[in-house]
Amino acid sequence: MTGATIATPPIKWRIRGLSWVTWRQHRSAIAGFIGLLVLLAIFLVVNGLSMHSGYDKIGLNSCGNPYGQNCANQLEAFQNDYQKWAQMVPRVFAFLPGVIGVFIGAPLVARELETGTFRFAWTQGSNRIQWVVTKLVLLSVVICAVCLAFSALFAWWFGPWHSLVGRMASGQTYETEGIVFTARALFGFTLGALLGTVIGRTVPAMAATAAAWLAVVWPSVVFLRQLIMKPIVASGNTVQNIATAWTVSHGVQNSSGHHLSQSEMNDLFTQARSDGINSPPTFDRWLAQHHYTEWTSYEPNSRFWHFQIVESACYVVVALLVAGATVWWLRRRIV
Amino acid sequence: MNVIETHGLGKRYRRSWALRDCTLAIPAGRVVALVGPNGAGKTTLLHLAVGLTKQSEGEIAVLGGETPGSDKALGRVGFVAQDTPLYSYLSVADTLRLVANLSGSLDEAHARERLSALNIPMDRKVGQLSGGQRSQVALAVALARHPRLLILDEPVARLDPLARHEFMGALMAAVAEEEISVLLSSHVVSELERVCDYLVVLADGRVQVIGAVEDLLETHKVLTGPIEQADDIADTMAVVSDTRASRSARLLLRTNDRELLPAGWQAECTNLEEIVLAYLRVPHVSALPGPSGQQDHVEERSA
Repeated sequence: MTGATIATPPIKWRIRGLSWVTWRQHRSAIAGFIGLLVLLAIFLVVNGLSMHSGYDKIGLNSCGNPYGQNCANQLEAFQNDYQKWAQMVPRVFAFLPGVIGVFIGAPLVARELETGTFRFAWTQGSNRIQWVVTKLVLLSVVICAVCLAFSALFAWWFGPWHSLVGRMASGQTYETEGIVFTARALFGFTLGALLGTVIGRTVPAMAATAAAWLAVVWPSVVFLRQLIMKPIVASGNTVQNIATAWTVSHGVQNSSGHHLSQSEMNDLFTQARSDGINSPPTFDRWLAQHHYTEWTSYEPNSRFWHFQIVESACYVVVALLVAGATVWWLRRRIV
Repeated sequence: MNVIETHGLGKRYRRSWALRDCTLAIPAGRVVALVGPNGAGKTTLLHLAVGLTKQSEGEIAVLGGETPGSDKALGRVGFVAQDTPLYSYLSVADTLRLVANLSGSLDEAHARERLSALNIPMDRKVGQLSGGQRSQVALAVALARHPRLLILDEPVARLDPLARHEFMGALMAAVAEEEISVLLSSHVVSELERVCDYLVVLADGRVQVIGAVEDLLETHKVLTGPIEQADDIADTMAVVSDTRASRSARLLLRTNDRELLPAGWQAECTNLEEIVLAYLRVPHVSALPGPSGQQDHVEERSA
């Protein structure tokens, strides 16, 4: 340290340049987005405190294996009191990353194109590439930070259920816990920015973003996720930890291990009916007598982070490609 | 130095050409009027000059060789777009801060001084200003960046006559104070003679007339005389417009003083508005500098 550096007056930290422009232009959108998540967070805290204390009060924490004989009553009481929210809330929250894309991503460039203000913004000294890259990067950072915090709170809220249902279940807590939620928000944001840039009008861009986000996310949940790691296939109905796993598929197999198709099952039903079988429990017994057994394919709860990391990485790569396409389009395509 | 220089410049949107084969050079220190009917390619040319659009063919350079849209050019070219787009949700003060942050160099005091002289409140939202005030804000912002070249696209088209007069007055005062070149497009021809000293007429995506206003006024004359001789004159001289009444004919022609005036004919000076209108009526007639730089031909161009 020299004397000169000590003598320099303290630098007052201030946002300047394109960062200020981004802040000033998008602070209300960011405030709206954070406001929405804060409202949801308040619900999670209030409901979560009650659920955590309910879990202890009912005694699920002290009766041993929650699916054991000792816990049967406690489990039923807990499910009666809290299952409704625990099932509904994760399903709704799964759409939040798309909402971010629709309301923050789509208008980012579309509004400028629609109102003509791009002719003002892009002729004041900063070039449009710096302009869009700054906005994409800064808003992405904010979105990621807020989403990660929200996912962490969500994980706490869902905590009492972890030992009961795990967190792998598709379309449930898996979508909001961990990091997939954030990666999907990032994807939604860049997707909105690209569609807004290409379409150039705010409302159509928002609609297109919602549709495109669903068109990517829904098949990835239903079809692609199980490709991350081959599901474990087990036969019989005594699969270990099945309650906390994601059951991908299940069915009936014959004595040589062949999984029966739907039409083969229909044939069996007909055959059983001619034997006078007409209720599910008797049908199960009939199947066992004829050497058919059940099989289940599942992704165990222990794979949660592996799945989260792989799936998130895919979304982040796609988000980067989409962001690159946005910059390219802005540079090449716009009049 | 030429503030704008184009060579064979063309811009195509999908299938139609908005601008084609545009070759021109505009010297520095001028106030240039870019005139033409709607759809002539004025906005396209201006957008090419500020880098909002890329050309489909040809070349364009600003401020003596800079590529439009490059960082160097963006920093030294001011632009007020058509309908003066500004963020309506920002206050005037925030608009200044926005530009200061976008450009990295805004003489904020200069802009504040100019706006307070016009009684435009700094805390008012831009969306709540009148059209005239908005235009003044856009002009103040553009001037406070101290550009070397200021480009304005139809700056007064939507203003009432008083606001139009005030806007042009403010622009002229600024030009007199600082040495900036100005290129403004307009289809309001009447304002231009007071303000501009250089004229470019675009028709159908091509340059029809280009030159200093002084030279154009000197080389264009109105001749009036008996109708019987009008055809002879039209055959031998460069007639731009030809208005015939029952007995007399009124011809606007391009000439130089050395040419002899036929007997029985009177020559008068004309004004810029009449010259511009005459050319706009006949888009196939052009007045461009000849190879020697002399402007002594009216050229018929096959349509």
